[in-house]
Amino acid sequence: MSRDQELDNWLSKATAGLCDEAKTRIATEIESHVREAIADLREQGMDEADAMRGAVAGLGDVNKARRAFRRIHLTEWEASAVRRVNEPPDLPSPHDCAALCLLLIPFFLIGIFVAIMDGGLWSLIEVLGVVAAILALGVLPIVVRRISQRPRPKRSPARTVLHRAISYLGTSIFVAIAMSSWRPVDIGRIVSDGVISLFFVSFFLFVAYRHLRLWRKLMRADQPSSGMDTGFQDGRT
Amino acid sequence: MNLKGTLALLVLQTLAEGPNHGYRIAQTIKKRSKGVLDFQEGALYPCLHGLEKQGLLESSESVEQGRTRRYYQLTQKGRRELAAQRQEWEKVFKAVRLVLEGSS
Repeated sequence: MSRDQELDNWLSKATAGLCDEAKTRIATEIESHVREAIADLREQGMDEADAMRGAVAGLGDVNKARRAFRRIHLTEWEASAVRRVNEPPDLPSPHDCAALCLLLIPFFLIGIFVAIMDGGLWSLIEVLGVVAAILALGVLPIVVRRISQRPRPKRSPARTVLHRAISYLGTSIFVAIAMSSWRPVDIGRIVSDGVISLFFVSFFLFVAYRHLRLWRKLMRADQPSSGMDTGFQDGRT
Repeated sequence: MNLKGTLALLVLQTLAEGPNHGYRIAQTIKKRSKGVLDFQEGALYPCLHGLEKQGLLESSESVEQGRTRRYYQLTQKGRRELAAQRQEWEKVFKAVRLVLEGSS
């Protein structure tokens, strides 16, 4: 392995999954550190290859370094989540909502027609409920957009991330309760609904967990330094 | 031996004497401890970055003889934290010595 390959290999493992900003900063500092170490080892009489090996070996266990960097720096996903917090909400425009409603009208009409032909009052109420829900979905973004345009008190990214984590957690609990109260008679439906509900509950729980982890990382920046992993080798002191 | 928090204290103490870059900080700690405190140098940078995020250090990049170096220096908050950590460390050190003297 060539001298630069050895260092590149260490760096790519240590910074795997981190955001670009963190990767660049760590690479610049570690490269500079290794160059200084090589210069010192060369002064002590080592040849170039041995000095390089010694300098990279001095950095220590790459997996420990990776874990330590991940505790401090944001990962790619976390960096994009923080960026999204700072950006204004990206909601569909009123035109998009109107287009969505227009697109769905033929489906509503078919649904109502089928319900009337079946003659069941209950199915008609169900169809009207679905129509109302979809119309609300079309109108809701307009309302949210109007509200979001009002000046809001500025919140810290950590607080916003925590709110999101709680809302995802709430959604997963809501889905779990809603699906557990559903009692289909058909065994096939029980299995398919169970799988679907399990998927949604797991998905929302996973997103909530990722937000909670990001919140902890953002909060850690304000805590005192004691308790940080030292990297000292056991038994050497 | 549980040494959690010690590297942060040693880094803060080293930087109390003036701004320095990562490699020199590592060498200073090793040299002053006569090689006893031999740590993995890769662990120094997460520690430095963490201290900076807590506002205990601030850093700036400079290019010297074609090498980019990031110099770290203590902030006022860092000086206060150093004083607090030193006090705590001395208290623990005295307590351990008392226990060891009692057993001999």
